[in-house]
Amino acid sequence: MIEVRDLKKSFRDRSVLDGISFSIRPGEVVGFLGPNGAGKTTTMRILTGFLTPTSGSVKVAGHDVTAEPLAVKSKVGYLPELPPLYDEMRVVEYLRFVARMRGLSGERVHSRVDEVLSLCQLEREHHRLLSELSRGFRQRVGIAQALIADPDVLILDEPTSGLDPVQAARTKELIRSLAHEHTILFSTHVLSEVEAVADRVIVMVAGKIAADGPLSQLQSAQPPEHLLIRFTRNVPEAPALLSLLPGVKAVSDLSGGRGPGACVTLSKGHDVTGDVMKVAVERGWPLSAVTPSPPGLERLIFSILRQEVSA
Amino acid sequence: MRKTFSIAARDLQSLFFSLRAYVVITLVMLLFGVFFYLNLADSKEASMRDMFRIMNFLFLFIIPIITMSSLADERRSGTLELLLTCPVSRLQVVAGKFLAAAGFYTLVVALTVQFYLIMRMSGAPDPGPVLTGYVGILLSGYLFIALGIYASSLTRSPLVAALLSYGVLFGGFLLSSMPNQFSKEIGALVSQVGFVDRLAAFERGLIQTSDVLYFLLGTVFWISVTTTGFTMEKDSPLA
Repeated sequence: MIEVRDLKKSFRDRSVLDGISFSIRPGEVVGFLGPNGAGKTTTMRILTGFLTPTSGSVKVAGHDVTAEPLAVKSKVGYLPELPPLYDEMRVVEYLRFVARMRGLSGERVHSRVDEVLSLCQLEREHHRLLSELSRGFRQRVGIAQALIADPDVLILDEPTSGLDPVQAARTKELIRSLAHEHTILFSTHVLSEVEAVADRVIVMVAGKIAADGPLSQLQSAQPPEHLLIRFTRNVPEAPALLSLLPGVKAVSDLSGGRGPGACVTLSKGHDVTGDVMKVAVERGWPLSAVTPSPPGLERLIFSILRQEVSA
Repeated sequence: MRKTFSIAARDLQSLFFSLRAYVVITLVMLLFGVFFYLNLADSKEASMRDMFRIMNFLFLFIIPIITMSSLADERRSGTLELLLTCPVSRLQVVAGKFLAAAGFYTLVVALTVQFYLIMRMSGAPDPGPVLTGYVGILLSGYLFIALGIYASSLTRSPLVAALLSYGVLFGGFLLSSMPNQFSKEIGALVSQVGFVDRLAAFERGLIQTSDVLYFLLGTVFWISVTTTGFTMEKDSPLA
């Protein structure tokens, strides 16, 4: 659905995108992560036809953004970082205006406006002036306008930015409910959102793609942070002996509350699974499982960023 | 075309929602009313000729108020990002902006017809030069509007856009008002390129093809420059 090949973008002499390539399949929900200034918004703006690439090829739904910008724009719904609202308009007037701009006409304008008002839970606000709306409602109207023409591709730049936790949760639910019928690319700084919503993550750092893949794949590529060791019965000597192994930072005994076992915190870059198994066999411990625990998304992103900076 | 009209209708709505529309209408009616009274009292002649000159001069200052927000405000508020990510061409966007401003300007000019009607009550002004005078005022106004929208496309500040328009329009007015200050050749060129002399024939009751083409081509030129020139790239000089 989206094909980006060797995309470069410079503003004057400053390179913002340095030859990035990725593709997104139909129905995929992709989270776009990275620090400020990494090039996420610029990439999204190029995908929507708002900016032109300096070089490289970008295709959306089979259309090239440079050669057929209007065809691309008719396939894409876009929520910029700040919802693009005309404050002097009422919600329903604004959505009708955007619907007409997106090529809808006649009864379809009204029916589609009713649908997105319902989908974004804006029915009660439909006659209010946009200038009177709270940040959360403005964000919802922004999402509604992106959905108005039922586009194949949705590009959402920080869709939950500035929302309270309840509103953010509703927006996440909405994005999740739109998945499979739409291809979705969304950027965020809230990593739990990516875990909750995205099938895949693209991490950008300084205009380059630092990581790209399903979350589980990215996590498994990183060394584990903890080993979770389970016994069938209590082994009182285990924590003390495990803490002597090289590469073990700390050991906590889980037998108090979570059943017989221990949680081993590993020093960076060490995997002591083999040593644990060896000690367990030698000492005759009733081992039932040794599970490496992947780093959380936050740790994962920091780890990717660190690797990129040191590279 | 439907999208162009939608953009124009939205712009007109925005203009009337703000105070600008009412400020412009009040200013025009007040200033023209005063000048109309002074002119009539002074010349005692049932002619709109001097009124058209005053109108043309005052619209140099009024039109930038109409066009200042046209694209600058869209850029400032981020709604230009909405328009330019919809399946709408840049020409449709600029044409919509032009239609809205030109529509409002036509309304304002139409309101001044009351001065002609008042004049008819006390005299017998020749309707021919009045009609052609209005054609000239409208055509020159459309050219100023196209230029004002270009100025508005260069910046995110409506105030800067208005000052740019004032600078160019007033500079153009001064230059074309004094061709005698230059050598013969340059004076002739200034007279041809400038817009002041172009209005003289309209005021006398003549519609000359060359004058009509001058204003129409000028309008198309500035709309084209705006359409092809305005950019959202961060390297835009005034963005």
